[in-house]
Amino acid sequence: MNVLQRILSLLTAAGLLAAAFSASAHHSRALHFDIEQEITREGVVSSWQWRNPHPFIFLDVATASGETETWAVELPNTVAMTRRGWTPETVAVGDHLTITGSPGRDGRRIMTLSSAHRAEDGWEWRGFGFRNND
Amino acid sequence: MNITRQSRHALAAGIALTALIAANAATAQQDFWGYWEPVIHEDARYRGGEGAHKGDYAGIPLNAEGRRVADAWDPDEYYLPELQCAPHGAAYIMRGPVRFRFDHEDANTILMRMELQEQERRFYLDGREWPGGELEWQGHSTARWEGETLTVVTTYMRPRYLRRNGVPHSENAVMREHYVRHGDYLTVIAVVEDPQYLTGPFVRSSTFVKTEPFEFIPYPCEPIIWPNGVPGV
Repeated sequence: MNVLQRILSLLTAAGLLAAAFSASAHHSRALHFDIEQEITREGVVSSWQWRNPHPFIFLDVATASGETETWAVELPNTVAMTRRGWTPETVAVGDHLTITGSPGRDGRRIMTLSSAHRAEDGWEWRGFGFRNND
Repeated sequence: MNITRQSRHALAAGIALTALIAANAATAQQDFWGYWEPVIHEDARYRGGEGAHKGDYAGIPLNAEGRRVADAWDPDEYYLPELQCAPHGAAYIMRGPVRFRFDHEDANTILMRMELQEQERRFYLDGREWPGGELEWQGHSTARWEGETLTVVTTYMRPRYLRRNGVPHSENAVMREHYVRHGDYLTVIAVVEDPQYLTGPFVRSSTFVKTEPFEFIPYPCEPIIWPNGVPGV
């Protein structure tokens, strides 16, 4: 993605964000996620499920002990994400992503998506955050 | 001759008055047609991304049985394959991020077509009775115009929730909605009565703003089968 494409992408995303309204999940996130906390996980996309009621990014994360943990990153539904500029091609299996979001309750390896970054091409996405009615 | 002329004048005046009343009624009803999107300022914490916490029943007149059922509700039921694609029911869906189009399906039916979860609500103006069969998530709705207010009564709703934390309503719940337009805004005042779970009427409002026509974004739904029943375990 060249600089012009990146600028257009950012402008498009900004326009969509400005036009967007709440993208609340079909379930209350507070029930499954500790929304007071925020964590960051970096890893490789092992699976990408663009579907409803929620798309999921499965991220393989290397731990300090050398093992691999898979984190399930839950996104708002495809209608909300489409309005925010996402498509099934926004991420792909094999992408190296850094994702920030709220962790699952009870130690579950699930998290929400507040922001995502792909170093390879500089792609970055930021949501509203829950406190702003996202 | 004079009597005939007066009669003609009276008849003409009557026709004109009838036409004027009809035109006014049509104008009032037409005000609702078109595309609307939600204004989620009211109760934003419950309705937005954070949502309702377990055990938060603030503002809901739950009786003891309603509280017992809500307390016993397991949030992980959302991940059951058979429920992942279940839509919000009529008693909650207007609280969600629902964009919709109001239209006439036929002379006796108002169709509310919603983008969210591809749901449809039909408001029958002829007062027809529930045809029977399985209960539906959106229930059976009859409607009538009261001046410029559209009043909708919904019954035979499949049991679902009043808040997304397991606060229940039963199949005997009755929901009366009053749709009122003020400028570019449309407010829906919903009153749910359900003696099985509520001590009295549960009243809340939801507001929408008129918007330009838009293409509905499809919402195909396909549940994920989680090996351990829930994700991340």
